[in-house]
Amino acid sequence: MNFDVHAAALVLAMAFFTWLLRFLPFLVFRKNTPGYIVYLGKVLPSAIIGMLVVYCLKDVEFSAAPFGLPELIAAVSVVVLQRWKRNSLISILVGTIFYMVLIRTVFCVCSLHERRNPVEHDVNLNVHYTAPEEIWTRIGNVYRSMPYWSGTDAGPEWTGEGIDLWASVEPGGIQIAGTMPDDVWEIWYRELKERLTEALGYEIGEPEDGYDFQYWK
Amino acid sequence: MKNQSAFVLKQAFYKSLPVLAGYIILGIGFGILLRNAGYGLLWAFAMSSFIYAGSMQYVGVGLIAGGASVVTAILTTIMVNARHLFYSISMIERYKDTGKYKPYLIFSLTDETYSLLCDGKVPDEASGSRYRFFVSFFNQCYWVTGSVIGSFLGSVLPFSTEGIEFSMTALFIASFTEQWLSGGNHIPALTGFLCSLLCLVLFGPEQFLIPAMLLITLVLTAVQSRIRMDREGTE
Repeated sequence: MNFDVHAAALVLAMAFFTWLLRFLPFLVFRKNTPGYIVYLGKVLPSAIIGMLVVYCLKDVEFSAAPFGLPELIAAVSVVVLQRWKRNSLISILVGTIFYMVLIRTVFCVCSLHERRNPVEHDVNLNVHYTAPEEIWTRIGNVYRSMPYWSGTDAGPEWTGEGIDLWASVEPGGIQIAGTMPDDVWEIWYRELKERLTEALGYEIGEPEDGYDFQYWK
Repeated sequence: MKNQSAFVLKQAFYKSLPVLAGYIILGIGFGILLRNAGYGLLWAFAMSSFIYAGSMQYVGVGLIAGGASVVTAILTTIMVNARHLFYSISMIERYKDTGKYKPYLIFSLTDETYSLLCDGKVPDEASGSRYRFFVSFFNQCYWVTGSVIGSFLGSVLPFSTEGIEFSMTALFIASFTEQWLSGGNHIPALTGFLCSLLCLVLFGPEQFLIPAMLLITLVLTAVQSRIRMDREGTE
């Protein structure tokens, strides 16, 4: 396998800019620290931890069953344990195990039903079959990056519990079809379109929704 | 002297334990994802060693697999990791006299390491820098080990780890509670929590972090004189 220079460049860029963000404040205030920054250094830690708590719970769905209840109950248990024992290790360990038990028992039944119900899907995307080789390579890379990938030389495929999807090229564009539970599909399909859009450089979607084909010479 | 070293190591290891399970499992998840995108062991090792930023590495897999441009990668990094600016600003004073450990301490300031070290408490002032170094280093070891294991496995673990990611949430909640109980002014903690919540509602989960950081800074700046007076009053 050839060394992937572009991927290496991306890794370097990500590493360098992550370093830059971490080192920048130290470089800027190398000599002496203004009183305002000293003040921020004192009050920011508590504020940032508050922010991180929200950050961690940002993807919890509060408007649909189970309404974020497992997260809330487990979070309260961590607070109570911490107040009681003042030992972070115990709070985290017990809280996490409690959460894992909760989502497998009490909150399992209601979500399992809808989660593992395979539904038929069949969609077309606005990638024309006349696209050049290079475009297909990029599409292949995106396919492989998608969860549940199980493709072989025979063609792109994704399989899993209740999941059996395949992709092909038709006169009407790329076709993705097969079965996948609805909630998984919703995320998976959106992610696929986003990644394809990123990889191909134009908006990918279904032609019937108004997404145009692009033609290469 | 030797006893002292062993003591610091032990204390640091104990402190890093809450991160162990989470980092190993999340690291494994990253390794698997990267392997399935067509990049093996060396890539996982290199990314976890040199980038060492959890959520950014997950996003990075998508960027690499999708053949994103370097400019896109840079912009995404800045967006996703902007919060690190925040961590560093608040650690300038704390990391001031850490000598030879300083570069690594700054480099390894992830969300989790930050939450372990931001309260500034060390078991022994004289060996504080060594202690902080080892807490940071152990954490990165867990992360790199997880990534390498995931890359080896290349597929999901034979047992379900669903829910283990809550250990990170629990870590932040425990730190939050502990800082709250340690006394002092509660305004900073409330500011951080409420401003983030407000921005989450206004801007949605993908966009809220940067507005939240701006708002937090703004509010904390506005209440500066009050908090300062309060501190002087109690000290």
